[in-house]
Amino acid sequence: MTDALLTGDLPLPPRPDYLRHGVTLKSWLITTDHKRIAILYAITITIFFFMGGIAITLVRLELLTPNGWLLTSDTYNKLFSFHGIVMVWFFLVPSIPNTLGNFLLPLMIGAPDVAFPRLNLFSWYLTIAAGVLTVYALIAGGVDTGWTFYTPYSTMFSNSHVFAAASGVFVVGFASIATGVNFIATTHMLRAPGMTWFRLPLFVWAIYATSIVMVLATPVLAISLLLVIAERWLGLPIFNPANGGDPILFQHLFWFYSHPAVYIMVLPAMGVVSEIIPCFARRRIFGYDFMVYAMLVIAGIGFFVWGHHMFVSGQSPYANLIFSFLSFIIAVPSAIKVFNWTASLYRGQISFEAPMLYALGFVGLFTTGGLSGLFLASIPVDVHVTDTYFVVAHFHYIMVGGSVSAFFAGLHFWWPKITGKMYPESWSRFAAILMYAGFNMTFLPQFFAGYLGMPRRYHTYPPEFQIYNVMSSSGAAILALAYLLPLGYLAWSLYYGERAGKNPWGATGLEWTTFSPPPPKNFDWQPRVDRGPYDYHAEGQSAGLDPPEVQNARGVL
Amino acid sequence: MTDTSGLLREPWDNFERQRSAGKFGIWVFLASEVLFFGSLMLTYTVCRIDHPEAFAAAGRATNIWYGTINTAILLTSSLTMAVASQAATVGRVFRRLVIWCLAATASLGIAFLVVKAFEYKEDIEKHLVPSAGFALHDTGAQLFFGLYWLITGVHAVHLIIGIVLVSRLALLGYLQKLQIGEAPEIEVTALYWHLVDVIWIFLYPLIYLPGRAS
Amino acid sequence: MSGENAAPRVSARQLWRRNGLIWAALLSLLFLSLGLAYVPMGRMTMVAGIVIAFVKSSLVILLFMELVKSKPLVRLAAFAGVVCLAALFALTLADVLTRITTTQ
Repeated sequence: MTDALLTGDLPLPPRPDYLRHGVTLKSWLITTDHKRIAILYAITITIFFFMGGIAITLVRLELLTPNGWLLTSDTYNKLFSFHGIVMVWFFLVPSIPNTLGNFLLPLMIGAPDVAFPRLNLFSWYLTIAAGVLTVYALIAGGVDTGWTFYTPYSTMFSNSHVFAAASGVFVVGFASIATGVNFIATTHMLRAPGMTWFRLPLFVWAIYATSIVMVLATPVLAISLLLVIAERWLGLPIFNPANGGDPILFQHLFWFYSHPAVYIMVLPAMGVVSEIIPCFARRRIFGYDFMVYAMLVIAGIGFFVWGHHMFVSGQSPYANLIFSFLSFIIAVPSAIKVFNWTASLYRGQISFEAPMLYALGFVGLFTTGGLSGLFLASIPVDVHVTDTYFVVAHFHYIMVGGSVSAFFAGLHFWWPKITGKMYPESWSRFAAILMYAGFNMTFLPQFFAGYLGMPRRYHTYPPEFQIYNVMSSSGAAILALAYLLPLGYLAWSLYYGERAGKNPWGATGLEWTTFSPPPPKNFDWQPRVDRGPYDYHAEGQSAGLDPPEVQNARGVL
Repeated sequence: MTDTSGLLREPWDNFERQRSAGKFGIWVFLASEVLFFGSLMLTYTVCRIDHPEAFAAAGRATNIWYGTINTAILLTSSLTMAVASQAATVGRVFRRLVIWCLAATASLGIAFLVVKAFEYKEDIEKHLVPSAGFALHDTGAQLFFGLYWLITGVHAVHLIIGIVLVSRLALLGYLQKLQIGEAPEIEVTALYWHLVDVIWIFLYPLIYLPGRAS
Repeated sequence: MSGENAAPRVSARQLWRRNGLIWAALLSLLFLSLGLAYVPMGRMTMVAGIVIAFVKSSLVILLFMELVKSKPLVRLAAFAGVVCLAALFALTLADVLTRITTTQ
């Protein structure tokens, strides 16, 4: 191989890349190529993102005035429920793992595909089937239980389409489990020669930890919803107090999944940020080993804290104390990660491309959200702010300020690799900053409103909260624009963007050693790894000024 | 060395690793099934803790003979499945044994379903379906039977899937389309089948044995 | 590795014998649990049934499913599932068993 080929300077790749290898619709719909499946997922989650976004736009419009002017209470309840269901299960949970994870996991470990490619395609079809069920629930009139389906309302009193919505979530859960099995097997069994566990990029570790959580937690969600369906549809008494049932049991089963679910949503985001910060600071990540341990500890202890969603449910005070204590503990590994990202910036050669802006935004917003979580872990404070906008602000800081920012960070960072085109940098930086501003304007007022007592899921509110709601809704308009802009300029870049070489960012990692876009089997040569990740500079230097040593410096033909 | 190239699938370049990955993958899936049925058992446990006497009375109303016979049937099916799987790893020399054992396993599975059907019929006749005319009057007895119908129903669905998978393998083996000795499908299906048996092993004392001592 | 005409490492007889013994143990335990269910031992009656179920499952998992012979990674997967389930039970029961009701 000539040097020119190695640096990706030839005008055309030697054979069709994965996008041009087969151009029929059928070739896309029966593909087993993880990269194509990632694109299928990306299109799917984008559609769901905008559906959930439209729902909440109507909600935020309604909340501009204290007494409601646009929607009936029933419609309002159905809209926020739809927003939650779609955003959690059809956008956030699949977003980074099934798009970036699917695309990058085999590339980063030097494999030609995932362990079970046909199962991968099946996961996507399950997601589509589940989406159909959920959209049907919406069209048929909606579901008004909230995304949490609490009993006995969902089983005994709601007149909305609980069955369809719960079934949709049940089915998409199995897509999640299948993905988890696939990624775990891939990480264990398809690493290239020399790619030992502690040479893996942190994104791979993040996807691996996420997959373990997906496999072990999702079945319990499936059961919790199956029990609701059984009670509602078959009339089997499970949570009905008249028959001696315990409604709080539903909450235990539901939150046993739904708390680890937030780690499913945040761990991949942390993985993305861990890839981007070293690249744009030209520094090795600080404390690689502890970054790995922290992710595994978060995934593990994440299973033991679910009761902090139930402090006021009637759960016993002793259980409350245990869950509160464990919830404080789990802040520690997250804090370690934040310290390490910050330390990775110290003495770096920092540049502020769009991925870095999103990644830095993640660090700040995740930290804010995480700190507010500590307030919520404290039982006395939680009793005061439970079911208020304080909680809403907390989780949106993590999930939107955190995970969505990281998703956009990753999307921009790997866009050249996925599509072979560069996006327009000025527009992207503008969108990143606009998103940060819009986000804070939307959600920061909600902390105040919640602390001062504004309840969540309420369609009307006392007039003293209007100022916060108007600020929040205005911010939401800016945020919406910031989400629409990338849709525009990224689509533009597909046709008119500058051609990207193999490694436009000068990043380490095996994915940057292959063509942009990659060939169908990922690598034209067998990657062999002989060094750790993030080798941006020599030992003793503080930041890299020369091109970095990629993990596969010497490909074997 | 037998020819395994026909069985080699993307992305594997080594058949042993593909087989190993298949086994590992199914075990990871079985871990998820443990959580799936385990949370049903947790539901049962919490309800039983809340209503011990009602659960005892309700347990007494189940048909212990159907339950015990069915447990014995499934345990025997695990025997035939284990023999089929272990014989398959030895090789083609055991082809007839493997096919017979697979067929026996599927048949035993069907036998379980037949017994279950008779049991369900009897339960319906005895008004043990949670509804207005429910036979037992303790608060909590309807809970027991609500869980009974749901959990045994979910188990039956898993069993039917297992029967379909095993029958398919038996048929493919009979039609000489299965590479016994190399194809990992028998081992993988066996692991799934044994798990369905393990679940029933736990369901037996939870459904059929409560309340018998009084 | 195996071949069409290679001599089997085990005979059919050995397969049936080994697995048959496990099956016999399982059936014995089944009938033991059936019998014990009728013995009034207070709470121990229920405990006995569940303990026997654990023993039977262990036989199936370790021997029929060959977990004892499987590579450590597979055993780790099985262990992870069990540990996670144990956590679900432990922490849920930590609530259910310690609820303070107004009527004790």
